[in-house]
Amino acid sequence: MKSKEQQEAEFRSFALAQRDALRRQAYLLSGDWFEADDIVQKALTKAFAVWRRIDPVGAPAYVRRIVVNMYLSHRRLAWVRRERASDDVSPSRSEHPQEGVDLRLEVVAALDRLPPRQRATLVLRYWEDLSVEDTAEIMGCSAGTVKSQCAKGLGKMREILADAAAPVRA
Amino acid sequence: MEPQDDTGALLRQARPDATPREAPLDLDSILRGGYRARRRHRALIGGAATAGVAAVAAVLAFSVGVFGLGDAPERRQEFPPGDPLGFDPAQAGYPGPAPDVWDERQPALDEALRSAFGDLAVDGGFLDADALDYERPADEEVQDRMDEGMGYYAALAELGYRDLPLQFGPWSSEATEAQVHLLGYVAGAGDGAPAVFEINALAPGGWTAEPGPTGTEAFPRHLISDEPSWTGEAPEFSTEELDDGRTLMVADHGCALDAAVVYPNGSALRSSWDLGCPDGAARELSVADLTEAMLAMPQIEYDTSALAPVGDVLDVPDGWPWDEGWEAEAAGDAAATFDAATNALGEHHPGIELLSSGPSQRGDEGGQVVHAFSGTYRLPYEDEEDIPVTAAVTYFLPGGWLPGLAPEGSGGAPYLVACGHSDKDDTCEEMEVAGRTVVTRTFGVGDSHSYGVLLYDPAGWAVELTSAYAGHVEGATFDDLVETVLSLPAPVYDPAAYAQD
Repeated sequence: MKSKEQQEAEFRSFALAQRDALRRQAYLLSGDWFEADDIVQKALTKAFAVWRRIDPVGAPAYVRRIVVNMYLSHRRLAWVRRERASDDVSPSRSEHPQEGVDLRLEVVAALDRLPPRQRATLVLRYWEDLSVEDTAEIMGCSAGTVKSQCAKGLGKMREILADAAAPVRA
Repeated sequence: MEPQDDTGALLRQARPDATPREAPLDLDSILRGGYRARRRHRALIGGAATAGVAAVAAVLAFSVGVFGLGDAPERRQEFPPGDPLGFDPAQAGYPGPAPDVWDERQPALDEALRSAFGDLAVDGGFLDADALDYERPADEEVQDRMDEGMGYYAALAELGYRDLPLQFGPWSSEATEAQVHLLGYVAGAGDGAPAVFEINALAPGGWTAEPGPTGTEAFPRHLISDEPSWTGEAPEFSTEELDDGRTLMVADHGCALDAAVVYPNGSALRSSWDLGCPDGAARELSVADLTEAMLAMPQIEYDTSALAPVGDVLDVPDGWPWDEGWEAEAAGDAAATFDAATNALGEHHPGIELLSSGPSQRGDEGGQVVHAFSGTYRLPYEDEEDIPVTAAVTYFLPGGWLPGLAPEGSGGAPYLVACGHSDKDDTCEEMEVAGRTVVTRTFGVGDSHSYGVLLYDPAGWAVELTSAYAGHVEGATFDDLVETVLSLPAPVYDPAAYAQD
């Protein structure tokens, strides 16, 4: 059994190595760097609480799963829901100016209107480029569920974008 | 082919730049938090195991009393009164839904439900014979999921152990315009099954034993009604005061039965059973069997420490019924509003660019909503990390909200802004500027700041501007943003249509 010092040293190395990837994942899920930092801080705290039981090889995937769960928990908070009300594009979703920025904002706004689990599934598949199997592992569901969530999510986004085409001005 | 037809490709193209910004990682704090969580975990598992054994033992003894050895269940059970509250619980409520933490009572309560109502529900045709063939996951599995960041009931859901037939789940219901909540448990026929019965346990607070309409409009709520509801005729209604301090009420509607038990500790249990009112189905349940089942249920002890009197109920202007066509109807007004707003903003921030705008209904589909016009802007500045500064402007039209800052500790609604309601270390201020109320909310993480400024106009509308950026941005300081909001024009809408008595 590892000593407390060994555990701490191992965890520190792990956290430093993984933090950028975890923050990137949390940002893509939440669209907000503040929230992403909150999520990663809490996820790493939870990971350290059970560090003795985590297989080092599977640790990155395990913590990524915690990040997804933390994101979904944040979505359940009423205050966060109010801050991300249905049709808003997050003011803190910083964008570099470039062609197509308006369309991109509309796509992101449409993504924000999906239920949290559907949104998370699409982010992992399309923004993080994870395979169906890896997405299923992180989401804690079957590959079939990932496929159906993707299909439903894309279908819903298609409807939202089509509806938004007329009234949304740029 | 429209661009949105290949939504997957469009989504890939829309991936934001996710290059992580520099941010301190407080590893020492993470380690301290991890150690604290380990200590809590050990205490929790120990406590849950002890409580679990005692609770199961109690339920087993109680079940024998109901179905086995002939003793009347009420003689086997005790119904101690609750601690005095010092106020009328009917005129009180809880600040929000119960936190999703380990619920030691849940396994025993589910056992009690199944013991009391299981045979009745199956024999009467409310549940299939195998509907109750499910097993609770092990505590260790639940705890493992909770270690991954889930709440207790979220963990049960992940393990496929939620919304099953005759299984209690947490219940809460907003009252007095969401100032307070009623709390308890609810069980039914299970997710996806026809809602042919519902069993609802209520914690003390926010309801009255006085019979009356059971909708969500009145406060305090009524447990059970003696008026026509399932059909056009009043039910056969009976009330019985039991020697052990409980009160039993039954309403026989012919094609449906409602029953309620009020316990000496101020809690209650109610249930409704549809024998075939809407669909003419032939489900069967006698008043005697329902009475026996209701009285077989134990009195549940609740934590009433957060129960507080409602006080003067706030006079919140009515919200608007959700309307599928409202956005299309209000698009013209929203566009005119943002034309004027963009002109005003251009005076303070030359070069500001409107990215998107439109009307939106804030609230749940089918419920009461707030009407809002929302827009996003790119300000003509970049922050210290060379990222363009953006802002969101939201106009709130009259109805469904109150001006000012939510009282400390409240759940936010019906106010538009609350402090200390999230896990962010935020600061709020409320001030009067030229006869108008302005509320600000700020919080920061490292060098990054988030600002929110809300202006309430005496005419009944409000406008909010929020922005977030890193470091100092000349032209978009906190004071600049307050000044900007004060300069925003009124929204374009029909005040007469929004007038309320």
